[in-house]
Amino acid sequence: MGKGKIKSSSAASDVLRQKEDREEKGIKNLQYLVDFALKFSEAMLSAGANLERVNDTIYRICDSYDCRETHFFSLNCYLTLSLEDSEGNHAGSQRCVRGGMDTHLENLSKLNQLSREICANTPAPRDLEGLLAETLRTDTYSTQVRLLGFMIAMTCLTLIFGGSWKDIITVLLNTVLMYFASIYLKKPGVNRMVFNIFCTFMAGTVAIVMSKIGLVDDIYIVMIANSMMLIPGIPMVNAFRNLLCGNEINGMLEILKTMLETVAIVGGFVLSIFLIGGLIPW
Amino acid sequence: MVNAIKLIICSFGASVGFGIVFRIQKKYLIYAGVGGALTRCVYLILLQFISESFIYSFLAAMAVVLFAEFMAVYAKTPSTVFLYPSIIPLIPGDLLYYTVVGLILQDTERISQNAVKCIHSLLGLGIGFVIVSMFMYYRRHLNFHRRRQARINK
Repeated sequence: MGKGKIKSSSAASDVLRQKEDREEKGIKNLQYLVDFALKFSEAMLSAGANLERVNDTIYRICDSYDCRETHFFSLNCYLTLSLEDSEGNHAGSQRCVRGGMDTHLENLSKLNQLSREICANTPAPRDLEGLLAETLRTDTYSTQVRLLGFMIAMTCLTLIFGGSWKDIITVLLNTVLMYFASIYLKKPGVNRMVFNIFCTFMAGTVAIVMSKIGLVDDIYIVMIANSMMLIPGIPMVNAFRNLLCGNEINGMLEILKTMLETVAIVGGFVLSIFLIGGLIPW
Repeated sequence: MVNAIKLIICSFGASVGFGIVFRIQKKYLIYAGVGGALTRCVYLILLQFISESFIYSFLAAMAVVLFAEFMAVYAKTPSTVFLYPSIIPLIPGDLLYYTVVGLILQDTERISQNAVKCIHSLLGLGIGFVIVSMFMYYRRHLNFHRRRQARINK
Protein backbone atom coordinates (compact mmCIF):
# COMPACT_ATOMS: atom_id res chain seq x y z
CA MET A 1 0.00 0.00 0.00
CA GLY A 2 2.80 2.36 1.07
CA LYS A 3 4.86 1.32 -1.99
CA GLY A 4 1.91 2.07 -4.29
CA LYS A 5 1.54 5.51 -2.73
CA ILE A 6 5.25 6.24 -3.21
CA LYS A 7 5.03 4.99 -6.83
CA SER A 8 2.05 7.14 -7.66
CA SER A 9 3.58 10.23 -5.99
CA SER A 10 6.85 9.75 -7.94
CA ALA A 11 4.84 9.33 -11.17
CA ALA A 12 2.97 12.53 -10.36
CA SER A 13 6.21 14.38 -9.70
CA ASP A 14 7.58 13.02 -13.02
CA VAL A 15 4.53 14.34 -14.83
CA LEU A 16 4.93 17.67 -13.02
CA ARG A 17 8.64 17.83 -13.92
CA GLN A 18 7.88 16.98 -17.54
CA LYS A 19 5.26 19.71 -17.60
CA GLU A 20 7.72 22.18 -16.08
CA ASP A 21 10.41 21.16 -18.59
CA ARG A 22 7.95 21.59 -21.42
CA GLU A 23 6.94 25.00 -20.13
CA GLU A 24 10.56 26.02 -19.67
CA LYS A 25 11.38 24.84 -23.18
CA GLY A 26 8.32 26.64 -24.53
CA ILE A 27 9.32 29.91 -22.84
CA LYS A 28 12.90 29.52 -24.05
CA ASN A 29 11.73 28.93 -27.61
CA LEU A 30 9.38 31.88 -27.37
CA GLN A 31 12.23 34.08 -26.12
CA TYR A 32 14.41 32.90 -29.03
CA LEU A 33 11.57 33.82 -31.37
CA VAL A 34 11.14 37.29 -29.79
CA ASP A 35 14.89 38.01 -30.00
CA PHE A 36 15.02 36.86 -33.59
CA ALA A 37 11.93 38.83 -34.62
CA LEU A 38 13.33 42.05 -33.16
CA LYS A 39 16.72 41.57 -34.83
CA PHE A 40 14.96 40.70 -38.07
CA SER A 41 12.84 43.87 -37.87
CA GLU A 42 15.91 45.97 -37.19
CA ALA A 43 17.67 44.44 -40.20
CA MET A 44 14.62 45.14 -42.39
CA LEU A 45 14.32 48.75 -41.23
CA SER A 46 18.05 49.35 -41.72
CA ALA A 47 17.81 47.90 -45.23
CA GLY A 48 15.07 50.38 -46.12
CA ALA A 49 11.77 48.55 -45.54
CA ASN A 50 8.72 50.61 -44.65
CA LEU A 51 6.94 50.03 -41.34
CA GLU A 52 3.87 48.31 -42.81
CA ARG A 53 6.03 45.66 -44.43
CA VAL A 54 8.02 45.08 -41.24
CA ASN A 55 4.83 44.73 -39.18
CA ASP A 56 3.29 42.40 -41.74
CA THR A 57 6.39 40.17 -41.84
CA ILE A 58 6.66 39.89 -38.06
CA TYR A 59 2.97 38.97 -37.71
CA ARG A 60 3.35 36.30 -40.39
CA ILE A 61 6.47 34.78 -38.80
CA CYS A 62 4.91 34.72 -35.32
CA ASP A 63 1.71 33.27 -36.73
CA SER A 64 3.62 30.44 -38.42
CA TYR A 65 5.00 29.49 -34.96
CA ASP A 66 1.42 29.23 -33.65
CA CYS A 67 1.54 32.31 -31.47
CA ARG A 68 -1.92 32.97 -30.09
CA GLU A 69 -1.25 36.66 -29.42
CA THR A 70 1.30 38.91 -31.14
CA HIS A 71 1.68 42.53 -30.09
CA PHE A 72 4.24 44.45 -32.10
CA PHE A 73 4.85 48.19 -32.04
CA SER A 74 7.44 49.76 -34.28
CA LEU A 75 9.00 53.13 -34.96
CA ASN A 76 12.02 53.65 -37.17
CA CYS A 77 14.12 53.93 -34.01
CA TYR A 78 12.31 51.67 -31.51
CA LEU A 79 10.71 48.21 -31.56
CA THR A 80 8.75 46.28 -28.98
CA LEU A 81 7.23 42.81 -29.22
CA SER A 82 5.33 40.54 -26.86
CA LEU A 83 4.14 37.05 -27.71
CA GLU A 84 1.85 34.44 -26.20
CA ASP A 85 2.03 30.89 -27.53
CA SER A 86 -0.75 28.30 -27.78
CA GLU A 87 0.16 26.92 -24.32
CA GLY A 88 -0.18 30.29 -22.62
CA ASN A 89 3.55 31.06 -22.22
CA HIS A 90 4.53 34.71 -22.50
CA ALA A 91 7.71 36.44 -23.68
CA GLY A 92 8.53 39.96 -24.74
CA SER A 93 11.35 42.37 -25.36
CA GLN A 94 12.22 45.72 -26.88
CA ARG A 95 15.01 47.05 -29.01
CA CYS A 96 16.41 50.44 -30.01
CA VAL A 97 17.36 50.70 -33.68
CA ARG A 98 20.73 52.34 -33.92
CA GLY A 99 22.76 53.42 -36.93
CA GLY A 100 19.87 54.72 -39.01
CA MET A 101 18.83 53.68 -42.47
CA ASP A 102 21.43 52.71 -45.06
CA THR A 103 19.28 51.50 -47.93
CA HIS A 104 20.41 47.99 -48.92
CA LEU A 105 17.73 46.59 -51.19
CA GLU A 106 19.56 43.32 -51.87
CA ASN A 107 19.48 42.55 -48.16
CA LEU A 108 15.81 43.47 -48.13
CA SER A 109 15.13 40.93 -50.89
CA LYS A 110 17.10 38.28 -49.03
CA LEU A 111 15.29 39.02 -45.77
CA ASN A 112 11.98 38.74 -47.58
CA GLN A 113 13.05 35.36 -48.98
CA LEU A 114 14.19 34.24 -45.54
CA SER A 115 10.86 35.22 -44.00
CA ARG A 116 9.03 33.17 -46.65
CA GLU A 117 11.25 30.15 -45.92
CA ILE A 118 10.76 30.52 -42.18
CA CYS A 119 6.99 30.73 -42.54
CA ALA A 120 6.97 27.64 -44.78
CA ASN A 121 9.43 25.41 -42.88
CA THR A 122 9.38 26.82 -39.29
CA PRO A 123 12.95 25.87 -38.33
CA ALA A 124 13.84 25.47 -34.62
CA PRO A 125 13.69 28.93 -32.96
CA ARG A 126 17.26 28.66 -31.63
CA ASP A 127 18.56 28.29 -35.24
CA LEU A 128 16.85 31.45 -36.49
CA GLU A 129 19.55 33.93 -35.51
CA GLY A 130 22.17 31.85 -37.34
CA LEU A 131 20.03 31.95 -40.48
CA LEU A 132 19.70 35.73 -40.17
CA ALA A 133 23.44 36.24 -39.75
CA GLU A 134 24.10 34.04 -42.81
CA THR A 135 21.60 36.03 -44.89
CA LEU A 136 23.19 39.38 -44.10
CA ARG A 137 26.74 38.30 -44.80
CA THR A 138 27.05 39.06 -48.53
CA ASP A 139 27.56 42.41 -50.28
CA THR A 140 27.31 42.64 -54.09
CA TYR A 141 28.79 46.06 -54.71
CA SER A 142 32.28 47.21 -53.76
CA THR A 143 33.08 50.77 -52.66
CA GLN A 144 34.28 51.66 -56.17
CA VAL A 145 31.13 50.35 -57.85
CA ARG A 146 28.91 52.31 -55.45
CA LEU A 147 30.94 55.43 -56.21
CA LEU A 148 30.40 54.73 -59.92
CA GLY A 149 26.66 54.46 -59.21
CA PHE A 150 26.68 57.86 -57.51
CA MET A 151 28.63 59.35 -60.42
CA ILE A 152 26.17 58.01 -63.01
CA ALA A 153 23.22 59.28 -60.96
CA MET A 154 24.74 62.71 -60.37
CA THR A 155 25.69 63.15 -64.05
CA CYS A 156 22.14 62.34 -65.10
CA LEU A 157 20.61 64.63 -62.46
CA THR A 158 22.87 67.52 -63.53
CA LEU A 159 21.68 67.04 -67.13
CA ILE A 160 18.04 66.91 -65.93
CA PHE A 161 18.54 70.23 -64.11
CA GLY A 162 19.98 71.70 -67.34
CA GLY A 163 23.69 71.69 -66.44
CA SER A 164 26.57 71.84 -68.96
CA TRP A 165 29.59 69.51 -69.23
CA LYS A 166 31.58 72.01 -67.12
CA ASP A 167 28.98 71.73 -64.34
CA ILE A 168 29.12 67.93 -64.61
CA ILE A 169 32.89 67.93 -63.97
CA THR A 170 32.48 69.96 -60.78
CA VAL A 171 29.51 67.86 -59.65
CA LEU A 172 31.55 64.69 -60.17
CA LEU A 173 34.53 66.11 -58.28
CA ASN A 174 32.23 66.97 -55.38
CA THR A 175 30.58 63.55 -55.59
CA VAL A 176 33.95 61.82 -55.13
CA LEU A 177 34.88 64.09 -52.22
CA MET A 178 31.52 63.68 -50.50
CA TYR A 179 31.52 59.92 -51.01
CA PHE A 180 34.92 59.44 -49.39
CA ALA A 181 33.98 61.88 -46.64
CA SER A 182 30.92 59.74 -45.96
CA ILE A 183 33.05 56.60 -45.75
CA TYR A 184 35.64 58.09 -43.39
CA LEU A 185 33.36 60.26 -41.30
CA LYS A 186 30.60 57.75 -40.72
CA LYS A 187 32.88 55.33 -38.90
CA PRO A 188 33.50 57.37 -35.73
CA GLY A 189 29.75 58.04 -35.54
CA VAL A 190 29.74 61.72 -36.47
CA ASN A 191 26.38 63.42 -35.98
CA ARG A 192 24.36 63.38 -39.22
CA MET A 193 23.71 67.14 -39.13
CA VAL A 194 27.40 67.95 -38.63
CA PHE A 195 28.28 65.53 -41.41
CA ASN A 196 25.81 67.18 -43.81
CA ILE A 197 27.06 70.70 -43.00
CA PHE A 198 30.66 69.58 -43.46
CA CYS A 199 29.97 67.84 -46.80
CA THR A 200 27.97 70.65 -48.33
CA PHE A 201 30.35 73.32 -47.06
CA MET A 202 33.17 71.41 -48.79
CA ALA A 203 31.10 70.96 -51.98
CA GLY A 204 30.06 74.63 -51.95
CA THR A 205 33.67 75.75 -51.52
CA VAL A 206 34.82 73.57 -54.44
CA ALA A 207 31.94 74.88 -56.60
CA ILE A 208 32.80 78.53 -55.80
CA VAL A 209 36.51 78.02 -56.51
CA MET A 210 35.71 76.23 -59.80
CA SER A 211 33.27 79.01 -60.68
CA LYS A 212 35.92 81.68 -60.11
CA ILE A 213 38.35 79.74 -62.33
CA GLY A 214 35.63 79.63 -64.98
CA LEU A 215 34.97 75.89 -64.84
CA VAL A 216 31.32 76.22 -63.79
CA ASP A 217 28.50 77.72 -65.88
CA ASP A 218 25.75 77.70 -63.26
CA ILE A 219 26.86 77.34 -59.65
CA TYR A 220 23.29 76.74 -58.40
CA ILE A 221 22.80 73.74 -60.67
CA VAL A 222 26.02 72.29 -59.21
CA MET A 223 24.81 72.90 -55.67
CA ILE A 224 21.35 71.45 -56.24
CA ALA A 225 22.73 68.39 -58.05
CA ASN A 226 25.20 67.75 -55.22
CA SER A 227 22.57 68.29 -52.56
CA MET A 228 20.49 65.52 -54.20
CA MET A 229 23.19 63.10 -53.02
CA LEU A 230 22.34 63.94 -49.41
CA ILE A 231 18.75 65.23 -49.43
CA PRO A 232 16.61 62.55 -47.73
CA GLY A 233 14.01 62.43 -50.51
CA ILE A 234 12.88 58.84 -50.00
CA PRO A 235 12.62 59.15 -46.18
CA MET A 236 10.57 62.32 -46.78
CA VAL A 237 8.15 60.49 -49.09
CA ASN A 238 7.99 57.59 -46.60
CA ALA A 239 7.29 60.02 -43.76
CA PHE A 240 4.25 61.39 -45.61
CA ARG A 241 3.20 57.86 -46.39
CA ASN A 242 3.47 56.94 -42.67
CA LEU A 243 1.31 59.92 -41.77
CA LEU A 244 -1.36 58.79 -44.18
CA CYS A 245 -1.13 55.10 -43.19
CA GLY A 246 -1.86 55.63 -39.50
CA ASN A 247 1.76 55.63 -38.27
CA GLU A 248 1.48 59.28 -37.28
CA ILE A 249 4.15 59.26 -34.57
CA ASN A 250 6.74 57.83 -36.91
CA GLY A 251 5.61 60.15 -39.72
CA MET A 252 6.01 63.26 -37.56
CA LEU A 253 9.41 62.15 -36.25
CA GLU A 254 10.65 61.41 -39.76
CA ILE A 255 9.40 64.72 -41.19
CA LEU A 256 11.19 66.57 -38.39
CA LYS A 257 14.35 64.55 -38.97
CA THR A 258 14.38 65.05 -42.75
CA MET A 259 13.68 68.79 -42.40
CA LEU A 260 16.58 69.18 -39.97
CA GLU A 261 18.86 67.22 -42.28
CA THR A 262 17.83 69.40 -45.23
CA VAL A 263 18.45 72.56 -43.20
CA ALA A 264 21.95 71.24 -42.46
CA ILE A 265 22.54 70.47 -46.15
CA VAL A 266 21.48 73.93 -47.30
CA GLY A 267 23.21 75.50 -44.30
CA GLY A 268 26.56 74.13 -45.49
CA PHE A 269 26.10 75.68 -48.93
CA VAL A 270 24.93 79.01 -47.52
CA LEU A 271 27.88 79.06 -45.13
CA SER A 272 30.33 78.44 -47.98
CA ILE A 273 28.81 81.31 -49.99
CA PHE A 274 28.88 83.73 -47.06
CA LEU A 275 32.40 82.80 -45.97
CA ILE A 276 34.12 82.11 -49.30
CA GLY A 277 31.83 83.18 -52.10
CA GLY A 278 31.78 86.83 -51.18
CA LEU A 279 29.52 88.65 -53.55
CA ILE A 280 27.92 85.76 -55.46
CA PRO A 281 24.20 86.64 -55.50
CA TRP A 282 21.47 84.08 -54.68
CA MET B 1 10.55 66.37 -78.17
CA VAL B 2 14.35 66.15 -78.13
CA ASN B 3 14.36 67.59 -74.64
CA ALA B 4 11.77 65.02 -73.52
CA ILE B 5 13.85 62.15 -74.90
CA LYS B 6 16.94 63.57 -73.16
CA LEU B 7 15.01 63.74 -69.88
CA ILE B 8 13.76 60.16 -70.26
CA ILE B 9 17.26 58.83 -70.98
CA CYS B 10 18.69 60.80 -68.05
CA SER B 11 15.97 59.47 -65.75
CA PHE B 12 16.84 55.94 -66.86
CA GLY B 13 20.51 56.63 -65.99
CA ALA B 14 19.67 58.29 -62.66
CA SER B 15 17.51 55.33 -61.62
CA VAL B 16 20.20 52.82 -62.60
CA GLY B 17 22.78 54.91 -60.70
CA PHE B 18 20.62 55.08 -57.60
CA GLY B 19 19.86 51.36 -58.04
CA ILE B 20 23.58 50.70 -57.58
CA VAL B 21 23.73 53.13 -54.65
CA PHE B 22 20.75 51.38 -53.03
CA ARG B 23 22.46 48.03 -53.76
CA ILE B 24 19.71 46.23 -55.65
CA GLN B 25 20.62 42.93 -57.27
CA LYS B 26 22.44 43.29 -60.59
CA LYS B 27 19.72 41.42 -62.49
CA TYR B 28 17.12 44.03 -61.44
CA LEU B 29 19.17 47.13 -62.38
CA ILE B 30 17.70 47.30 -65.87
CA TYR B 31 14.16 47.15 -64.45
CA ALA B 32 15.03 49.97 -62.06
CA GLY B 33 16.14 52.04 -65.05
CA VAL B 34 12.97 51.17 -66.97
CA GLY B 35 10.95 52.21 -63.91
CA GLY B 36 12.71 55.59 -63.82
CA ALA B 37 12.20 56.16 -67.57
CA LEU B 38 8.54 55.12 -67.32
CA THR B 39 7.98 57.46 -64.40
CA ARG B 40 9.48 60.36 -66.33
CA CYS B 41 7.34 59.47 -69.38
CA VAL B 42 4.13 59.47 -67.33
CA TYR B 43 5.19 62.68 -65.59
CA LEU B 44 5.89 64.48 -68.89
CA ILE B 45 2.59 63.33 -70.41
CA LEU B 46 0.63 64.44 -67.33
CA LEU B 47 2.37 67.83 -67.36
CA GLN B 48 0.88 68.45 -70.83
CA PHE B 49 -2.67 68.22 -69.48
CA ILE B 50 -2.51 69.06 -65.76
CA SER B 51 -0.96 72.12 -64.14
CA GLU B 52 -1.72 71.23 -60.51
CA SER B 53 1.39 69.68 -58.90
CA PHE B 54 -0.66 67.68 -56.40
CA ILE B 55 -2.67 65.93 -59.14
CA TYR B 56 0.17 65.06 -61.49
CA SER B 57 2.39 63.88 -58.60
CA PHE B 58 -0.50 61.75 -57.35
CA LEU B 59 -1.15 60.13 -60.74
CA ALA B 60 2.54 59.61 -61.49
CA ALA B 61 3.00 58.03 -58.04
CA MET B 62 0.12 55.64 -58.71
CA ALA B 63 1.71 54.64 -62.02
CA VAL B 64 5.12 54.00 -60.45
CA VAL B 65 3.68 51.98 -57.54
CA LEU B 66 1.68 49.86 -59.99
CA PHE B 67 4.88 49.20 -61.94
CA ALA B 68 6.76 48.31 -58.72
CA GLU B 69 3.96 46.02 -57.49
CA PHE B 70 3.73 44.29 -60.86
CA MET B 71 7.50 43.76 -60.91
CA ALA B 72 7.41 42.55 -57.28
CA VAL B 73 4.92 39.82 -58.18
CA TYR B 74 6.97 38.90 -61.27
CA ALA B 75 10.32 38.76 -59.41
CA LYS B 76 8.90 37.56 -56.05
CA THR B 77 10.71 40.30 -54.19
CA PRO B 78 9.50 43.32 -52.17
CA SER B 79 8.08 46.14 -54.28
CA THR B 80 10.44 48.55 -52.48
CA VAL B 81 13.31 47.11 -54.55
CA PHE B 82 11.77 48.57 -57.72
CA LEU B 83 9.99 51.50 -56.11
CA TYR B 84 12.93 53.37 -54.58
CA PRO B 85 15.06 53.75 -57.73
CA SER B 86 11.98 54.37 -59.89
CA ILE B 87 10.63 57.31 -57.87
CA ILE B 88 13.87 59.29 -58.16
CA PRO B 89 12.48 61.46 -61.03
CA LEU B 90 9.46 62.37 -58.87
CA ILE B 91 11.27 63.45 -55.71
CA PRO B 92 11.00 67.24 -55.36
CA GLY B 93 14.57 67.61 -54.06
CA ASP B 94 15.07 70.95 -55.80
CA LEU B 95 11.85 72.39 -54.34
CA LEU B 96 12.88 71.21 -50.88
CA TYR B 97 16.27 72.82 -51.40
CA TYR B 98 14.85 76.17 -52.50
CA THR B 99 12.34 76.13 -49.65
CA VAL B 100 15.09 75.73 -47.08
CA VAL B 101 17.24 78.35 -48.85
CA GLY B 102 14.30 80.74 -48.46
CA LEU B 103 13.96 79.74 -44.81
CA ILE B 104 17.63 80.38 -44.06
CA LEU B 105 17.75 83.67 -45.99
CA GLN B 106 14.34 84.73 -44.60
CA ASP B 107 13.10 85.16 -48.17
CA THR B 108 9.33 84.79 -47.73
CA GLU B 109 8.61 85.02 -51.45
CA ARG B 110 10.92 82.11 -52.19
CA ILE B 111 9.38 80.09 -49.34
CA SER B 112 5.82 80.69 -50.50
CA GLN B 113 6.70 79.85 -54.11
CA ASN B 114 8.45 76.58 -53.37
CA ALA B 115 7.15 75.29 -50.03
CA VAL B 116 3.53 75.03 -51.15
CA LYS B 117 4.48 73.26 -54.39
CA CYS B 118 6.85 70.96 -52.48
CA ILE B 119 4.19 70.01 -49.91
CA HIS B 120 1.63 69.47 -52.69
CA SER B 121 4.05 67.18 -54.54
CA LEU B 122 4.93 65.23 -51.40
CA LEU B 123 1.28 64.85 -50.42
CA GLY B 124 0.40 63.77 -53.96
CA LEU B 125 3.20 61.20 -53.90
CA GLY B 126 2.23 59.99 -50.43
CA ILE B 127 -1.47 59.58 -51.23
CA GLY B 128 -0.70 57.92 -54.59
CA PHE B 129 1.58 55.42 -52.86
CA VAL B 130 -0.85 54.75 -50.05
CA ILE B 131 -3.87 54.10 -52.28
CA VAL B 132 -2.16 51.52 -54.50
CA SER B 133 -0.08 50.02 -51.67
CA MET B 134 -3.13 49.66 -49.44
CA PHE B 135 -5.05 47.94 -52.19
CA MET B 136 -2.17 45.49 -52.74
CA TYR B 137 -1.68 45.11 -48.96
CA TYR B 138 -5.32 44.17 -48.36
CA ARG B 139 -5.21 41.78 -51.28
CA ARG B 140 -2.17 40.03 -49.75
CA HIS B 141 -3.71 40.18 -46.28
CA LEU B 142 -6.93 38.61 -47.51
CA ASN B 143 -5.00 35.76 -49.16
CA PHE B 144 -2.96 35.29 -45.97
CA HIS B 145 -6.09 35.02 -43.80
CA ARG B 146 -7.77 32.70 -46.31
CA ARG B 147 -4.74 30.37 -46.22
CA ARG B 148 -4.59 30.61 -42.42
CA GLN B 149 -8.27 29.74 -42.09
CA ALA B 150 -7.82 26.79 -44.46
CA ARG B 151 -4.89 25.58 -42.32
CA ILE B 152 -6.92 25.87 -39.11
CA ASN B 153 -9.88 24.06 -40.66
CA LYS B 154 -7.60 21.25 -41.82
